[in-house]
Amino acid sequence: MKKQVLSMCLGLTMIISATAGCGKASDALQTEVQSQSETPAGAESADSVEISFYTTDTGKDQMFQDIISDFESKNPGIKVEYIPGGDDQLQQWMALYASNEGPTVSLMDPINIWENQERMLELTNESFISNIEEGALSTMTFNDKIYAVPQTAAGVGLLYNKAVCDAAVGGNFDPTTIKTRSDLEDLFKKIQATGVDATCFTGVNWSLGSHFLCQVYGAAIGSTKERVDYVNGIISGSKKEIDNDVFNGYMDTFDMMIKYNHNAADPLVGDVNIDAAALGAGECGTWFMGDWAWAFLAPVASEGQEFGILPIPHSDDANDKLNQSIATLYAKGYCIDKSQNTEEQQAAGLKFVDYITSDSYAQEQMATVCGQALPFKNSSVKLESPLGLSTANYITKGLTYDFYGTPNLYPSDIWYECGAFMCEYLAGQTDRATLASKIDEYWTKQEAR
Amino acid sequence: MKKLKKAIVFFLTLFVLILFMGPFLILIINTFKPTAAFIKTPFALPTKFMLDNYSLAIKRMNFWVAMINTVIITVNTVLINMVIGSMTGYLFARKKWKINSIIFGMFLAFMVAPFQVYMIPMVQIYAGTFGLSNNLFLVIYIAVGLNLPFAVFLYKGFTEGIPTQLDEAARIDGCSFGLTYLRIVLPLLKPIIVTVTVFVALGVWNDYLMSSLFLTKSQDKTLAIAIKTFLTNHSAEYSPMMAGLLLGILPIIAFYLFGQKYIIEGVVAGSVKG
Amino acid sequence: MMRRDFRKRFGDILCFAGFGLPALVIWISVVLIPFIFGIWITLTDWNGLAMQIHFVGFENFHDVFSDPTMGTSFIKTVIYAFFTVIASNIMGILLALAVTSGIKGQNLFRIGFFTPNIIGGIILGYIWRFIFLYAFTAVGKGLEIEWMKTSWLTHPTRALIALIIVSSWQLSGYLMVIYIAGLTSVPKDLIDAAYADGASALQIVSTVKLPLIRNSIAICIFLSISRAFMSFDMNLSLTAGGPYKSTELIAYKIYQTAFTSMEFGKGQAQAIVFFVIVAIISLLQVYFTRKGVDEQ
Repeated sequence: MKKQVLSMCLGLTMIISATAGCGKASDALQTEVQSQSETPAGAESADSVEISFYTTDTGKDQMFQDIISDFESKNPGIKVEYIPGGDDQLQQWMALYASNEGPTVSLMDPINIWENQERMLELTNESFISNIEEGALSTMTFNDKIYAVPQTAAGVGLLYNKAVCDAAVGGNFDPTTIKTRSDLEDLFKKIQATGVDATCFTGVNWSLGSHFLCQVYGAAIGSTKERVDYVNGIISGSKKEIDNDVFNGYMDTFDMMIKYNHNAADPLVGDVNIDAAALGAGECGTWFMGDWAWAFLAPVASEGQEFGILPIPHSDDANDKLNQSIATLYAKGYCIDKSQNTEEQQAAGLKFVDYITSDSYAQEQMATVCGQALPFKNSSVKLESPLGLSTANYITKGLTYDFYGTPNLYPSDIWYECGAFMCEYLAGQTDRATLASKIDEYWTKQEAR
Repeated sequence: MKKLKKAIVFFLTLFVLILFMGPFLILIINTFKPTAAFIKTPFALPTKFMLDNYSLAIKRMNFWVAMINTVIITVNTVLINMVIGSMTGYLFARKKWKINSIIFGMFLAFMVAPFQVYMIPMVQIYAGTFGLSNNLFLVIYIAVGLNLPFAVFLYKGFTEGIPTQLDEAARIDGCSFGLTYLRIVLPLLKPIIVTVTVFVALGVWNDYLMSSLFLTKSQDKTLAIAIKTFLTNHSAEYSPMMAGLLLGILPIIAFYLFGQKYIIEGVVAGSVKG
Repeated sequence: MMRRDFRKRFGDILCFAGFGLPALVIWISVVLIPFIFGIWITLTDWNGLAMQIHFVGFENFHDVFSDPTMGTSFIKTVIYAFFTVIASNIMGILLALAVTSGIKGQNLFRIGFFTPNIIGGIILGYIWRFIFLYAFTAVGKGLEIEWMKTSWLTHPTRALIALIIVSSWQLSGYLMVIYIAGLTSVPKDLIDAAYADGASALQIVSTVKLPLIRNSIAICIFLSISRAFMSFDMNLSLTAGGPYKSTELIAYKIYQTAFTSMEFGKGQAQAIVFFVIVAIISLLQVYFTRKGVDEQ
């Protein structure tokens, strides 16, 4: 009997080793062995270094791969491994760090870089910093030290279909005529009179919770310091959202817009593609979104259609410059890891960041595919996206403010937690006072900024 | 009378089937339409027969490489899991030792442990400490481990349904514990082996979370990871994505069709003996 | 005598080493050891990335128990699991009975009912979203049914019902396969004998088939409980916890805490608490159904 059990065991180990051999036969294992020896021995040959690039800007694999191969051809000796993240971006980043394979260069949200700053290489004295627009750097600066470089500038506001607005005002619609909340409501009334829904909210947490709500902590409060102080006031409980004019101002605008919402019958349906199609087809005149929406709009827009961005006014003061300004987000930045990468890899990473922010090919690719303005001084690329052009227009006129102010102003889950409160409010399930107290409560669980 | 009843059952089942297959049929028709058409009119039939989505899926997903990786992982996982799982299930069904019931209880309890609890520590141990990331063999090993309790659970349950008299008869004929397993029990397990294999194969074939933690390099991607290339910010390129999904599951459907035959054969063999 | 005892014991050890040990070793290394590391993380303030880890004692557990949203999420999960388990098992048995009754095209039917399980990922959830958004509302508007005029997914209760429907739709085909395996092992002569005694088809199902597949029922209930409590993919792709977090089931909530709020330790603590509760529920279920089977 013993013999038979033994032979069973033998058979089992044979099966296991056979299948193991099968795994080994694949080239995957060989590359694994290579990569294993690569990390510690990265210094062995100075002329060849392998780095990795992790991006959380999804759906642009082709663009990044093109940029990488152009970079590799211009920088022989550096090989860049492309690692795309999905909507599970933080989890993938954690997994990469847990594997001891922290990416050399990561394109991440500012708050994530801030949370992970002890691993990041300081970029303050790098030459490429001088090529970045000053206004775009505050989001990437922690305690006066620059840790990342922005990717693009995204504009947030009310997208409009010019043909619909033209028909409403009876002539050529001039977006600069909208200076106050009442101006906007007038426009809405005129649009409605033509039988078209005036505006549209996409009832999703990230749009309402991150983009609409966070305007409340924007430039209307004041300087970056005043904004941080205000948020700290709420966190400590010394200030209440409901007592704040800025909060109430934006919520008044929100309430006004809700009355004209294209999705009023079912406000939380929330689909960017459907809403983009509605704007493109002229079923609604305006849409609260940002210039990234060109990706959804372009496939449904026909030749010759014009679109642009309107600011969200927070008051009836025609002299308030902010009512004519849009928020710009530097939503993602390139950062370089120093905790799990060799000095050679870090140096190569710096070269890559330098290249991607200053090379004309990289800029052209970025501008064409993302359709957004680039915060780089030497950039001369022409945008094709009318929405991106609109943002660029506001930037040149100086009519923008930095949405984030500081990288850690908004916690990483504000879009999810407060987005739920905003959705509830949009659906008419709660009143403003309750909303304000829920947001207050959310903040009290956060650490002081 | 009996015929009429059968016809009623048939048409009822057919009706339920149509309801069941609805979403799947919607998926199929939309692989022939551009994404914009899917969003506008998801239920409309395609106006013309276009295969662009399929060629796009094959190109962008690096389809064949991903397919080979997925096959390597799935086949090996299923085989190892089958051997180890059925042996352990047999042991647990036949030997009511205390240690066996303790282990079995632990297996069961941890089947409901959320994977998120141990996935990051798992990555730290295997990829971080042992440097085994981007290693197909490691993914197979972990997939075997994650699916073992499920397999043991099913094998044990079905082995218990096999009368012990059969074992005893074999024992009298001079068969050891191991030989009894090989000669008597294993052949009778055929239907459940096919069932477990289908389940485990499906789980491994479609697994995204675990394999994405360990396979980051593009040449080691599986189909479930490769499909992610069609995700965009806040949306996705749905039509090529659906085409890619459909192409990716064809082998599984083929396997299931093939397995069906064996389920029936196993049953016939079982009923002759039973 | 001693010698025989020793030999038997040695044989038992060999038997265990050959048949049980490989599974045990693999399972301990893949599940148990990482899990114990995971428990250690619950006692720290680790955010998933930081290089330094600080010990904070039971603070995370205190947070979990003082967080009211954890309780609501748990109740929602229990409601969801309860209805999903019942619906999918009843449906699974019915489907299995239908496709083993000898009707034409049995095999094709079996594949058809199983297809919802073949496709993984977010895409099925997305297709269902369109069905709830367009198809259901079209019917509602056409027939003037008030509660079908707007998408179910934007109403808290209906969204949970939608989640139950879609999960049961997926799960019942899965359970059907196990029930088929159980039903086909019911000896044919027993059924024939019952027919000869003049039993109706319904009587055969309830007095012959169902009692004989008790084992399969126990297995399927356990599997559906564990699947329902762990439900994550469908939750993410169909409702994403919405509208306004009203369908945030526990597994999804844990994920959000750990990977969106970057409170990894707290997410781990939630998961451990949840795990303990569900493990007790499912072990009790297995114990009692097992007892029931043995007493038969």
